[in-house]
Amino acid sequence: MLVVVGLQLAALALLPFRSARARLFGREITLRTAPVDPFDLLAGRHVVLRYAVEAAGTAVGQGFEEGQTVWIVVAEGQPAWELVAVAPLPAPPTPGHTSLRATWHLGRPSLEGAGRLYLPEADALEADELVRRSPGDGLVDLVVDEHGNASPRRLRLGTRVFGAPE
Amino acid sequence: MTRTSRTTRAWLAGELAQWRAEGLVDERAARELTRRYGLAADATSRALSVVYVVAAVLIGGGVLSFVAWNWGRMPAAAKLGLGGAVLVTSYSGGYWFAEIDGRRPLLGRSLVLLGSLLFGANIGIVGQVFQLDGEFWGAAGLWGAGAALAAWCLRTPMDGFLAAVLGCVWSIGRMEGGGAAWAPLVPAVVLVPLAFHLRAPLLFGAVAVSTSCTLAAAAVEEEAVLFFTSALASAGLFAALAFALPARLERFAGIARRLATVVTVVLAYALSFHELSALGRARWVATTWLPAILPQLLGIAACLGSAGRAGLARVPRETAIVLGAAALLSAALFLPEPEVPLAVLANLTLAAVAAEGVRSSVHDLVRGRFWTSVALLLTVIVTRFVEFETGLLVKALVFTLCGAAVLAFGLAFERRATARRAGHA
Repeated sequence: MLVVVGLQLAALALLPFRSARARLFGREITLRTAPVDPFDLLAGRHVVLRYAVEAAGTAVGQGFEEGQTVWIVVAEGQPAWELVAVAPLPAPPTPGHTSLRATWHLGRPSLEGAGRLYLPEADALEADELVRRSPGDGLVDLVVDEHGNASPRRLRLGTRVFGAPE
Repeated sequence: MTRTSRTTRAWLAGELAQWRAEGLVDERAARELTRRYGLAADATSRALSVVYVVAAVLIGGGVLSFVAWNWGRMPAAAKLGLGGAVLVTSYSGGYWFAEIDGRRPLLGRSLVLLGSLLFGANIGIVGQVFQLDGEFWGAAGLWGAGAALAAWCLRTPMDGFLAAVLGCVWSIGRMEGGGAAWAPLVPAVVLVPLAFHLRAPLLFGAVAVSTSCTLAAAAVEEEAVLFFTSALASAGLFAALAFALPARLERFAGIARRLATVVTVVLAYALSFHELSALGRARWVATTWLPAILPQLLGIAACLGSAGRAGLARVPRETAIVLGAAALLSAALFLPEPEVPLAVLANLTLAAVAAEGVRSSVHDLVRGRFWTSVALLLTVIVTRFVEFETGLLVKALVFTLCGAAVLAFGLAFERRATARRAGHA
C-alpha cells in the first residue's frame, strides 16, 4: 500500500516540475492571445490560449522538422511582447528579451506548457462571453524561467482579469 | 463447501426456493444444501460486490466532477493537500479492510478502486493548480499506470479493468500522435500477466479484446492490409495461449480459444469478399508478413506440444481448425493475382468453423454454440448471394433449402436436447 501511495504521490509531485520552476524562478511577460473556451472531462473548464507569436512564427521559422524543439524569441513591447525570431537554440536572456520553449507542429511553433488556463466555471462562462463579443482581443501574463519554460498566470480581456491576481 | 460453477449455484438457488415452497425438501435439508453449495454466501457476495463497485464508481465520478468544477475560492495548497489526503485515506481504508482486518475484503477492494479514481482526480487538481497543458490521453496514461500499480500491489482486479480502459484511451491517443503502432501492446504487457496473477479471466478477456480492437483500428486507419497482419497475429497468439495454458488456467484457455475463433472468423469474413481480399497484398508480401507468421508458428508449436503431452484426441479441435485456417490464409496472401483462391479459402474457413461448431454442439448439446454456428453459416450464404449477381430462381431455391435445413436440424437438435434433459431428470 505504501508503495502505491508513495509512487502515485511522487508522480503527482513530478508532474508540474517545469511549470513550478517557472512560477518560482521565472519573470513575467505578456503575450497577445485569441482564446477559446472548451471543456476537459478530467480537469474541467479552461481557456485554450492561441498566441499571436505562434501564428507570426510561421513566417520567420521555416526549415524546422515536425516535433522539433524550437525557441520563440520575444522582445519587450506594449501592451504585449513581440516576436523577434524562431530559433533552434535559446538566446541568452537579456532584460528586454527572452526565449520561450516551443514545439514545431504543423508548420508553426507551439508554446510548450502554456496552452491552457484553467478557470472556475463561473469565470470561464464569463470569459467565454467576452471572447464571443471581441474575439482575438486578449492578453496573457506568463511567467518564464531561464530555460524557456512558461506558465500562464492570468488572462486579460478588456478590463476584466481572470486567473491569479495581479 | 462443495465447489460448483456459478451457473449451477444460481440454478440450484432458484430451484431450492421452488422445492421448499412445494414441500419437496424440508427446512433442515434446504439449510444444509445452502451451506454445502455456498448459495447464500454466493448471492450475498455478488450483490455486495456490485453495490460497492457501483458506489465507488459514482463517488469517484462525483469527485472528478467536483474537481472539474474548479472551486476557485480555495487556496492552491489546500486543494493539493485535500486531494492527497482523500487519496491516502481511501487507499489506507481499502488496505485495512481487505488485508489487515480481512473481514470486509469487498469493501476494501472497492475503496482501493475509489483510491485509483481519486488518483485521476488528483491529476486534474495538479493540472489546474499549475496550469498544465497537454493532451487528455497523456493524463489517461499516467492515471492508468497508477491504477495498474494499485492492481498489482493490492491485488484488485477492478483497478485492472480501470487500467485497461485508460490504457486503451492512452494507446489510441498515442497512436494518433503518430509513429507508435506498438502503443496498444503496452497495456497488454502490463495487464495480461496481472490477470494471470490475480486469476481474473474476465480481465484477461477485456485486455485481449481491447488490444486486438485497438491494433485493428490503427491498422485499418494506416492501411487496410495491416488489418490482415494484426488479425492473423492475434489469431496465432490466442491459439498459442489456448494450447499452452496449463489445466489449472482452463478458464483463461477457454477465453483464448473463443478469441482465436472470433478473430479468425472476422478476418475470414473480410477476406471472403473478392474485392477486399485484393487490398494491398503486394505490400503485405513485401513488408508485413513476418509479424503475422511468427505468432502462428508459435501457435503451431504450442499445438504440437499440447498434442505430445495430452494426445491428439485431447487437442481442442476448433482451435486447431482455426489455426490451420489462419496459416492457409497467410499462405494464400502470397499467391499472385487473381484473388479468387484467397476468397474461396476464406469462405471455406467460415464453413469449416461453422461445421465444427455444429458438430461439437450437437455432441455436447450446447444450445448457444449450435445456433451461433448456424447463424454464421447462414450469414456466409446470404452475404455471397448479396455480393454476386445470381438468377432469382437460384436464389429462391437456395433460400428455401436453407430454411428447410434450419427447420430440420434445429428441431432435431432441440428434440435431442429435451430428451437428454428428460433422461437426466
